[in-house]
Amino acid sequence: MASPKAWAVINVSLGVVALFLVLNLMEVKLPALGKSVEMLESESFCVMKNWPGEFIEREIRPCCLEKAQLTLGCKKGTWYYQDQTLQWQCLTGNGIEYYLNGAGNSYCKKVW
Amino acid sequence: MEREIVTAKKFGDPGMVRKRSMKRKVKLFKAIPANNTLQKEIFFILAAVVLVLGTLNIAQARGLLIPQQPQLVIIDNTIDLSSMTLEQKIAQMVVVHGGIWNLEPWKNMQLGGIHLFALEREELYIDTIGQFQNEARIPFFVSIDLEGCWNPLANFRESVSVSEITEVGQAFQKGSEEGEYLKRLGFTINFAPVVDLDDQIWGCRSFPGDETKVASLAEAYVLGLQNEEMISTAKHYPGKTLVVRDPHKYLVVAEIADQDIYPYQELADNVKSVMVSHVIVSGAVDSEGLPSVVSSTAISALKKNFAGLIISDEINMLGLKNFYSSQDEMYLAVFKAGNDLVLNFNEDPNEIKHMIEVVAEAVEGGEIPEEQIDGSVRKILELKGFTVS
Repeated sequence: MASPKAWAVINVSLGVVALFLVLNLMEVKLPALGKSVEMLESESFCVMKNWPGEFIEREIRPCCLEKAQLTLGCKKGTWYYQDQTLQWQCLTGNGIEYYLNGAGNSYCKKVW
Repeated sequence: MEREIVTAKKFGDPGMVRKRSMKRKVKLFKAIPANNTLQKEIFFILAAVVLVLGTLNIAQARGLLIPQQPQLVIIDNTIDLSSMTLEQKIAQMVVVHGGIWNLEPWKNMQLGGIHLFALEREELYIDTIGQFQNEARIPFFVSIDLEGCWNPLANFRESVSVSEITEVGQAFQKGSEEGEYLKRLGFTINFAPVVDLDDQIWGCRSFPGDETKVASLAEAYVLGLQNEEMISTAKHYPGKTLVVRDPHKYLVVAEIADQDIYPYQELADNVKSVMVSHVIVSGAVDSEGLPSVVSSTAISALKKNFAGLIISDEINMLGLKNFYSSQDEMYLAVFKAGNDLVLNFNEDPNEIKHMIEVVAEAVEGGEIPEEQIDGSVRKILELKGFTVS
């Protein structure tokens, strides 16, 4: 049987959770979330292998959108491009390939 | 103090009564009942509240709390613009990603269109599109980027790359075949052809040759596609979109030559829509330091020669967002600039609803003329086959 203090702690915690849920319902956004997203963006990396077979470094947002539009999924592995280690390979049906590092892949999953 | 002790006593904690040094604790706990039964009751009430709030949060996050727009009155295939609310009009100007998980919110908001990404099988396209169009008073535009080497259908259908097409007849046939096929799946717009003159990034999205060759091949493709009642989109105005840039430096100004805009001039009478890019340009078209998609100067230049539908490229690009101090400011700029159809593939229905509200407020405040919105909605509804009064 929980002590009165334990009950109080549980109830206060539930009250705090309820408060956060109310704030979320009222669409109050916590500024810290924006900061972490920003940090992720700066680490993200994407390179594309084009039709003639050249590798081109791409801006992360268009890269994510193209990957979402053209591919069904990506496979995990290790690939190297210049000084970057890339963990994700995303293949399209027509020979265009996208390679992302871990941060890039997480970022893409978040946006599209 | 007397009163505090009495209160504590009432809730049955003898320790607090005996020790005067516990005065602070007494104060702290006097508001929290020490009786376990009461605590349990509070726990169950709070747990129920958290459960309800949690459910509401999930429903809100999935856009299920977005109210349905009033049903439109359509008589003899005619829509009276004055019978539409401002939100309904703006919603018609928005194309979102048609993920099936957002079926309900997108239908409730009565959006203008959905854009589909790669799916595994053609039946999935037919099924998804069918679910969106089912019981929609105004059908959605259903768009895709089927260009050739850029092919979301590649999992089950090949498409010849436009860079391999050299004859007008081939281009017409490609347009015709793709139009017929896309129509069968339920699509209504293909965001093709690309008429950029130099594709340095993919190496396969542009027709080969100089501006006259590109324009004639693109025109044949457009005619073939539109012959099958598929809306064709020339992109990406005003050109130089497929030129390699440093991905870390967005603020690069591309110099637009007369050759870059030549295909748009040639296609103006035939193609039903043009997509505007995010590239900042000067020269034959000047976006005055802004990305073309938010430049009323660049879009006005296009409108001088072209009366069809003007479509923004997808607006969730960092390069575009970084131009503005807030997302709302960016939304306003995209609508103000004169785009008729705005592509926003953000998956969050609340964000799309928010964008519509921000634009509606700007229209009500006189920041964006309602006539401009009406003009865009008229074009959209007419292309969907309605008569607009």
